[in-house]
Amino acid sequence: MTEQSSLLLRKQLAELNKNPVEGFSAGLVDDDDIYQWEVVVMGPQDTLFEGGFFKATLTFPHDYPLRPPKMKFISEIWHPNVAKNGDVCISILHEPGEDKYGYEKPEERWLPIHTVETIMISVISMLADPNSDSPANVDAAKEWREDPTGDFKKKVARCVRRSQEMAFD
Amino acid sequence: MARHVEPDLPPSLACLKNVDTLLRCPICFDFLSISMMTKCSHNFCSLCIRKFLSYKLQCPVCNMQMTEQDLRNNRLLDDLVANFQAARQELSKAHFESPPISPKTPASAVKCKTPRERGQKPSSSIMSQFFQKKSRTTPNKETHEDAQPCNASDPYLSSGKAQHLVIVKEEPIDVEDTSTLSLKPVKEEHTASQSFSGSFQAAHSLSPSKDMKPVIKVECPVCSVSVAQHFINKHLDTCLSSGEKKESLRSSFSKKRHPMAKLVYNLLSVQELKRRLKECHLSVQGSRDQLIRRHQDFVHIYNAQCDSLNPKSVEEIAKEVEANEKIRNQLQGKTKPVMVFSKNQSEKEIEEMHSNYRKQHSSDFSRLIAQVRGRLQATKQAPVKQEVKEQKEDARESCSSDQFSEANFQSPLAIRVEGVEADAGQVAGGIELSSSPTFSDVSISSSISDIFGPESSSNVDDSERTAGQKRPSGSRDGDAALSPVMGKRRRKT
Ligand SMILES: [Zn+2]
Ligand SMILES: [Zn+2]
Ligand SMILES: [Zn+2]
Repeated sequence: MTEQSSLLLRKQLAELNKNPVEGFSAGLVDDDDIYQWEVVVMGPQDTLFEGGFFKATLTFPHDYPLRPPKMKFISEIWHPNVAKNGDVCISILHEPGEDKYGYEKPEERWLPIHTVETIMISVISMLADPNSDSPANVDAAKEWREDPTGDFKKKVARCVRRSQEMAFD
Repeated sequence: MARHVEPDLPPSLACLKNVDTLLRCPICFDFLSISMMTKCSHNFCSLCIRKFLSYKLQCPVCNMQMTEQDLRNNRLLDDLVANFQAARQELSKAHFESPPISPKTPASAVKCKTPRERGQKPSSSIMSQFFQKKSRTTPNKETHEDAQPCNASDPYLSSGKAQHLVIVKEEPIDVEDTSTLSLKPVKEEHTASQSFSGSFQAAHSLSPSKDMKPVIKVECPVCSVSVAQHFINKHLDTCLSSGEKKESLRSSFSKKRHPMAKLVYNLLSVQELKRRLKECHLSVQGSRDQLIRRHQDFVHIYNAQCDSLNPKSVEEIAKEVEANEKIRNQLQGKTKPVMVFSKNQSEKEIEEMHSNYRKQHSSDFSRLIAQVRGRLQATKQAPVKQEVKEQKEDARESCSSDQFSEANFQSPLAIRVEGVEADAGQVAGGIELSSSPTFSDVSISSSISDIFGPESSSNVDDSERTAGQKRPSGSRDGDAALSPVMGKRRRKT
């Protein structure tokens, strides 16, 4: 699996370079290490995150695609499903065996057919539609549930602004 | 799991891209190697699917519950892969010798055949997809709304997604495997394997089972004969040295080797583990965990090879296992975490680490940001007018063609982030979907729009610009890019 995982990731990287996908871009941290990726995710249009350029890392296990990568935002981002340390907490990125919350459906869990692209699509759709049922950031979830156009909106707007400042400096 | 990366198809052979895609394993994205079909008609490399099933007992494409016992060979695909690879090479050569004409002929010949054959046998569904997707590589962009009208009466359309669920006549399963298996009911090892791969979870939780009593007889991995455990090494020696002659004799009856049992390693002593490793010609050096991993790897490859008409020898497999282990160890030593976090860091500390990381990698990120912005701008300039026409064409097209792959890939992508998407996934998982060997560009692009469609909080917006944009390459990633991920998302009205 080892060699296979690196080949598979190389293939995906080449494909993404050749046919880039709208909404995010991805590259390697270090050209010699195919398991460490960096990505920039754009906030989806018509959402509070619109206009933001959020930086993140993707770390793949050596037995990818049997196990999922971990994703971490290193841009500040206020979202129910992103922990305060940046860890992205969506069910498709959970390890195959575990079901932390006990109610994840099989189709929402990690599958080996997921690629960087499908993962990023999930992440972008997470930005568009937070899930406050299993929050990684409880405060953000509470705000989002109770008053999405109040404090939540303000905090997100600040993250967006900061991500733009940092993007164009 | 071929280990090489093939060169891309020349542009004039882009029409073959879909066949190429369809003949690939959805797990490793290489051409199917010893393809195995699930009950739900999905195909994978034997090794890929067997490895995955040791994590989770479900089909990776449609989530249907399954075990290794449900797998059946799909030799037709193996032959198709071999022939396609050969043809591809020929065509590429021909292409370079006389670029304008020659490569087109075979492609269009294939294309013409397709519609007539569609729906008649499993192989034809592959070709029909090829055809259907071939047309998609013309500058039409399909979205699920386009396909919607055709599905209005579809009872499965609970979530409003476009799913062309095509019920494919199930081919009688090749009975060869099961019959040979049932001819040998005596083998304790085999029994164990059945019950345990049927509930791997249970196996891991150390569930007591009578199957796990010490095995008295074991199956020789070379000739499949049942041998008393303490004689197995001796037997193996003779068996291996008498090699080829025996092999050819046997092969006239049944060349089939039998899969090795999945062991419950927790129950094995180190001594026992080592004995088993020796049986497999594997090294007995290392920690208990290493021994287990080594044996597991061997079993996976060995069992995958059992599905082959020309299985590799035990020694070859052992060599492969040890080579893999070496690479793995090298990698393990090399990898250093990008950021190390401890449990109880304050938000300030975390922000500081993030900030350091951003600074260290600022040039990388600037490049990535420039890329993603460039794409956005390109999108905004995409022609808008063209789209109306394309939508019409798409609708027609999707009505007339079987969208196998669309339905297939639906469920895995129907990721519920907020609870909207759950139904479709379940539906897709629960019914006979298709005989598509793999998913493809079409399926992905449509499922992206599926994801974004219902989730979007925006209102109806017909001026959406992204969906009509066309990317020249028919590759799956490329087409997926067409989905209105960042554009105004298309809404159902
Ligand atoms: Zn494979
Ligand atoms: Zn399936
Ligand atoms: Zn047959």
